[in-house]
Amino acid sequence: MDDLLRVEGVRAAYGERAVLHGADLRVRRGEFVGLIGPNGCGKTTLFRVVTGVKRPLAGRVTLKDRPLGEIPWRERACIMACLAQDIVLDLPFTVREVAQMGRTARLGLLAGETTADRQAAEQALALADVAGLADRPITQISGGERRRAFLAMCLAQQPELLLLDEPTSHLDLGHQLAALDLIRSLNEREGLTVLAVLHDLNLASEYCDRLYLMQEGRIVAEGAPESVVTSDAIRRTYSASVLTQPNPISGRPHVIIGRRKPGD
Amino acid sequence: MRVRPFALYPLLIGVVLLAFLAALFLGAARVPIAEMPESGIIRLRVARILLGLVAGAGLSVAGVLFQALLRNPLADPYVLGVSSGAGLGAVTAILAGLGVWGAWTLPAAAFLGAAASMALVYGLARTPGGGAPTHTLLLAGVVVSAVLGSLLMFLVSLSTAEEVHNVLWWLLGNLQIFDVPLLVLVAVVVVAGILLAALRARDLNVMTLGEEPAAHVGLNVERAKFFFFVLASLITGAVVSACGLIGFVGLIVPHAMRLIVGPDHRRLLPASALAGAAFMVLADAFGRSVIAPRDIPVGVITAFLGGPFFLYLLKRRRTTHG
Repeated sequence: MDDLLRVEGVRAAYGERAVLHGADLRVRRGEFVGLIGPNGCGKTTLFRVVTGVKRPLAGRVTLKDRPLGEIPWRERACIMACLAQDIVLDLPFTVREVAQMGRTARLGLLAGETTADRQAAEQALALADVAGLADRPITQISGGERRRAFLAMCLAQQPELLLLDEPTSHLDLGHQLAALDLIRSLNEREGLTVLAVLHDLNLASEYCDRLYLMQEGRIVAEGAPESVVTSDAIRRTYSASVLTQPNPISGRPHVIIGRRKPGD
Repeated sequence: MRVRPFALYPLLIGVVLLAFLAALFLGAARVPIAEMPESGIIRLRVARILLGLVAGAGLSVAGVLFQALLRNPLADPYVLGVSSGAGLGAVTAILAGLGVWGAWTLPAAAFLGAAASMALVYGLARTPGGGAPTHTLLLAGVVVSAVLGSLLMFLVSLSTAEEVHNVLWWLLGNLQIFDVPLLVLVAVVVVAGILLAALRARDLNVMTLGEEPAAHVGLNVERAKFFFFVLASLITGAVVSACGLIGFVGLIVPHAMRLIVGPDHRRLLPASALAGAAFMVLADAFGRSVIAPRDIPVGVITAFLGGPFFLYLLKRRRTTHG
C-alpha cells in the first residue's frame, strides 16, 4: 500500500528497437530512490514511461494504486512533478513566471491565479534557492540557475513524488552537490518522495536510500547502495575496471577508477 | 524595454483610436467634417477601417498562436498553407465566374478552401496514436501549401488578362468591403477567436516549454494543440476570406510586441491584437492616400514596411543574444 509508484514488467521500444525488456521498480512514500546504469541502458526511456509521455508496449505503471494511463494529465501533475533533462526555453520568461507555470494543473479551467497559487510559487522559488533571481529572464542566468528555476516550477506543483532525469548533468562539482543537497533536504524535511535517474555512481551511492541498477533494458540489481554499488556489479555492467571502497566520510560505497593497463 | 501593463493597454487603445481618426480623414476624397455624417464615402471608409481593425487584430493573434503552437519564431498565420487553400478557393470562384451567393461568393469560396486545406494538413500530420507532432504539422503544411500553390498557378496560367488582374488584386490583399453583414460575420469570428485564445493564454506559455515538459506540468498537450490549431485556422480563414492575403502583419506584430511586453501570452495576446489593429489601419490609410487617387493594396504596404522592420529585429536579436 505504501508504494507511491509501481512499475511492473514494462517493455518499450522506439520503432523496431526494443529498449526496455520488462523493467520492475517500486518507490515507497518518503524514499529517495536512484536509477543508475550505463549509457543506453534505458534509464531515460524508463523515466519517460513513468512520467507518462512514452507509452509502454506492455506492463503496468501504477501511481498511488491507480493505472497511470487512467489518470488525467492535470491530476497526474498534482501528484508527481517531473524534471526532464534538457528543457529548451529560449523566450525571456522571468524565473517567477516559470515557477508559476508549475501551477497549471491546480488552476480552474477559466479561473486566474489565487493568492494560494502565488504563495506556492513564491515558496517554491525560495525552496529552490532562486528567490533572488525571481525577476530575471531565464535566458540570462547560468545553467545551474536555470536548472533550479525549473526545479522551482516542479516544486510549485506541490507534488508528492518528484521525478528527476540526471539533475546534475552539465553542472560542476559544487553545483552537483548543491543540487542533490537541496533535493535530499526536500526529501527529509518536506517528505517529498524522489526517484532520480543519476549518472554519477558516487553521487547516487551518497544520496539515495535505495538504488536500481539497469543494464540493457533490465533491472539487474536493486537494494541499498552497499549491495548495489559493488566492484563486481559495476565492473560487469559498465565494463570498466573499478574498485569500491567505503567513503571515509559517510561509509557509503565509493567507486575508485583505475586505468586499464596496456595489454589488459 | 518592458512597459508596465497598466500603462500599456491605455497607450495601445489610444493608438488604435488615433489610427481610427487618422484613417477616417485620409483618403482620395476630401470630405468636410460637417458633411461627414451624411457622406457615403465616410460610411465606406468606416467599414473599411473596421475591417482593418478586425483583420490586423486577427492576423496578429493568429501569428502569436502559430508561433507558440509550432514553437517556431518564423511561423505566421499562413505557415501551414491556409493561404494557398484560401487562394485556390478564391481563384476557382473568380475563374469559374461563380456568383451564386452574390458578394459572398468569393469570401465563402476562400473560407472553404482555407478550412479544407487546414483539415488536410491536420489529417496528414495525425499519427495513429492520436496526436499531431509539431514537425510533422510543419512539413505537412509546407507540402500542402506547395501542391495547392501549384494548382493555383496552373489555374492562373489558363486565365485571361482581366481574370488574372482580379486574382492578383485578391492575392495582394485589400480592405475594400461593401457588404456590412459579411463584415459583421468576420468580426464575430475573429473577436470570438481572440477571446477564446486569451482565456487559455496560460496554456500557450506552458507550450513554449516543449511538449513533454508541458505534459509534465499537467497540460493535455494534444488537446491544447488541436484547440489552438482550430482557433488560429478559423481566425486566419475568416480574415483571408474577406481581405485576401495580407502578409507580414502576423509575423512582425507578435515579435515587436514580444520585445515590448515580454513573452507572457497573457499580455502578448491582447497587446498584439491592439497593435495589429492599429498597424493595419494606418498601413491602409497610407496606401489610400500616398498616391491618391490610386489605391495601393494594403498587403503591399505591410510587406514593404514589415520586411525591413523584421530584418531590423533579427539583426537586433543577433547583437543582443550574441
